[in-house]
Amino acid sequence: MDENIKTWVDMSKEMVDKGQTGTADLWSEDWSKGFAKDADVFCYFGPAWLINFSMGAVDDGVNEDDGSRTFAGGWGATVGPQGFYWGGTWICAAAGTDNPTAVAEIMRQMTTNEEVLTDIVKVDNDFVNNKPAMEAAATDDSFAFKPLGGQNPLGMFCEGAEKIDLSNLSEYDQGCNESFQLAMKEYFEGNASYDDALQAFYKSVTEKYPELSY
Amino acid sequence: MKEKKTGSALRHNRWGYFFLIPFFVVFIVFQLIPLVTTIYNSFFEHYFKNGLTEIGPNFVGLENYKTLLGSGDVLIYFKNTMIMWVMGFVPQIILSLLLAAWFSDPSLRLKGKKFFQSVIYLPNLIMASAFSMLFFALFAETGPINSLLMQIGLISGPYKFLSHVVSTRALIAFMTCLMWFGNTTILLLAGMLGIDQSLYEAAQVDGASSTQIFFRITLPILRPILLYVVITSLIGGLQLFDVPQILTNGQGGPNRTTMTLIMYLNKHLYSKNYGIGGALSVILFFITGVLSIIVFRINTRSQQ
Repeated sequence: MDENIKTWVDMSKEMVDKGQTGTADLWSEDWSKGFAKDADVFCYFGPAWLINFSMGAVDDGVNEDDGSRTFAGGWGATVGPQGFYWGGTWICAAAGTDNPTAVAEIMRQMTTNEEVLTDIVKVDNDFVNNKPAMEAAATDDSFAFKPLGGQNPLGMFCEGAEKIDLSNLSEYDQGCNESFQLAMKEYFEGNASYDDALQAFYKSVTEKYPELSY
Repeated sequence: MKEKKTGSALRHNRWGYFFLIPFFVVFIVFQLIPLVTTIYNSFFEHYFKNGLTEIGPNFVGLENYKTLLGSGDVLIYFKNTMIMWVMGFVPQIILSLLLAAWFSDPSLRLKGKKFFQSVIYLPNLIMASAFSMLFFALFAETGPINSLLMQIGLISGPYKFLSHVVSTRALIAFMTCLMWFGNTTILLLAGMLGIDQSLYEAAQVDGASSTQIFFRITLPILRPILLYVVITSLIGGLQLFDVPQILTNGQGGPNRTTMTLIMYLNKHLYSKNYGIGGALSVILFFITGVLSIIVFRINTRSQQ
């Protein structure tokens, strides 16, 4: 296991013990309540989609500026010390499709047409896999994010994307990451020792992926 | 003449078999075939690697059982399940006996009996998962119960109900108790109403107190119904799944102390692990069978 992960565990344990961070699960109600206007959470650590997909979905009553029901403003984005990515959107064709050429064309348009990609960024604030489109959007104020009160964080994301290291990828990453955080939660909350939590993590991963062993 | 009669009687009997067909078709398709294939699957290594690539089926004999029983986890989850069942069932049966005794006692002249009998059954009409979601929100760190307790001044900071073993188990037990005590009350009430009133009158004439009447007359006559309630609740309790699954987000937290056998089974469905899942189901089948036989034996023996 990468030493940096142990560093994360030690740092998180210290922060939990000092009451500097909560231990709410990802996607839990306690976790998402903090997005709202009157919550007292200072900051969230998350990927690009956290802003529009999660923060933007908080219902804070009708917004006077644009009539929407989502939380506008109040948050700001900045770059953390380490580049990373989390999650993604895929487009897949079903095996045995009747229209392979049409499907291929749709996929090509959706993933390579700069115009389509720019539209996705504009409407959904997603970060798409097209460098020129993203770099153009980064300098355009009309791409500002509502939850960030008009800040356009795309420039930071472009810089961060350059730093992502893809050398250690595996198909097990998401399952392992989730199991690890859930197992370590017990350590942070004092219900288990670090070694016990690690054992629980191994057990959980081998349940998810029977082909793995430890 | 005689021959003709038997012929028509035979033809008449045949209808009985026709009427039995729907039951047997449903039983075979939805019960027998799954049961047999589950047992069959438990001897194979068969799962999906990362949800896509099928591995197996390869015959491995009793390897799945060895893996499951060797780790000792099944025993821990069985213990969790039983602890939560007892925690929920004991208050449930006491509450139900008390309510049924009150409802069936004509001398109390209770008003609105029918209304309250319906009301106590209501929690069972809510889906267990919805009920669980409700408790999850109520007892969340930022939930209303915590803010209530803080405003009263009982606690200074939020109490993490779902991060402590006792409180999580108690919540699950409380929920199952609340959901099922109405059902148990109605079963016991039906049993109590079937008891001959003259027995009570005779006991009263002999000067028995109401406690004596309850323990010497009501309970012994109620034994078959009580037995039924205990066995059905035990089987239901062993299959405890939806309430803890939703409440603990499928993790059986803290530290898997609220992980039940079926939740563990569900963990293996992430990889569609038919082999281990099948073996676990068979183990569960045997545990349920053995426990039911034990309870049944104890009760019939003490009756003799």
